[in-house]
Amino acid sequence: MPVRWWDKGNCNNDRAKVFNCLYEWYTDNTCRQQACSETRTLKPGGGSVQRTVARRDCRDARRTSWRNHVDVDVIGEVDTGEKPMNQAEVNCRVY
Amino acid sequence: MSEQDATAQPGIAPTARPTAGTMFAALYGELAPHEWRDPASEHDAYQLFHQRSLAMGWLDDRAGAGEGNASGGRTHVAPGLWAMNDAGRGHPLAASGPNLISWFQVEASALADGRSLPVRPFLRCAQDTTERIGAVRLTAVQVLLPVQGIDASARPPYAPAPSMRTPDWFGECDPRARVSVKVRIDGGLDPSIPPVATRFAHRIVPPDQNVFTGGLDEAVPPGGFPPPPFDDRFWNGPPRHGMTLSGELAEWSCDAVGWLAATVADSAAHLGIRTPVLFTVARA
Repeated sequence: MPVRWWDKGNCNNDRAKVFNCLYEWYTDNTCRQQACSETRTLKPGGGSVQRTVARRDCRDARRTSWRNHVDVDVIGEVDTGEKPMNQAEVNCRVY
Repeated sequence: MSEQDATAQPGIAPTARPTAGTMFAALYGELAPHEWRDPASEHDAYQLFHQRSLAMGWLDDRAGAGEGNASGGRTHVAPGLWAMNDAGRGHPLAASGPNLISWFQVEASALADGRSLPVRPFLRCAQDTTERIGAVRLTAVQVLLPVQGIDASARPPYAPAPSMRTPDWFGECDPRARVSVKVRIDGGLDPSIPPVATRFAHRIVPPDQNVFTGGLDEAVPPGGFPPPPFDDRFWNGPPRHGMTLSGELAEWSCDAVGWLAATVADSAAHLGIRTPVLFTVARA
């Protein structure tokens, strides 16, 4: 399932508290949370050490829309509070 | 968002962007990590592949884009050939794979009518990433091709098989670089490949190109190819219904393998195959 990291952008500090959650899209146009990662203090840029991972096992392989919601709180700075949400269609359905 | 409906089911959101499907590459062989590299480096296959894809302009950023920028204007984000899924060095199922040295998974963007699946740039980034980590000696390359995402009926007249517009890139290869290879094309549980194997082979090896020469070879056992490093449900596996060829490739490179893979995908789509195809090339 999706993983995601933060980019430093124009922030001064290079550490942020980050977590992500996975949401499965339903036909009533709701997105239902299926998993969240732990909150970790990360440097920007990714790499296996600098990631948060939310995991759920698939119950079947039917194609489904998933949204990955990343919460980034840059330490010691008032950041924008934007919570990027990306969407992908994946052969994985949890219910 | 509306309130939850107890009868609702998971599905495809109306905001979903059409894509060609999942493309997966596995590189097999030997990898000797560079002596200067920290084994615990954060610059792992995932990060390196992502940055390489971004640098080359091939990464599709649209899925992760916000609605606007800091000044309130609209953000214009780049379309690309694929969106990143995952990558790694260890076996993704934690199994003991035969000489698996790296793997990469992307979601291929919807194809323009006159373009092939972007297997060559995909393998370019895979190879560059793996060589950033260590010295590589490749013995086999495996690619899951989302043939179901190719609409052969939409091909323009000038590009019925787009990869056939580019064999001349290999025209200046050193003739001594030609290598013997065996090729497995497998549709898994879908039985549509064997009945069209002869026509399929003729499409892959037309007389007006020299990148790959050869033909069907039933003497090559399918079990001689590495099993895919992903779950059978991921692609309609396990390997079962397919065809095997043997022949010569212009050079032993991911570029030449990528050309052949794109040709196989184009040919499969023309023959009406609508299932993911597992394509494997191994040195004979």
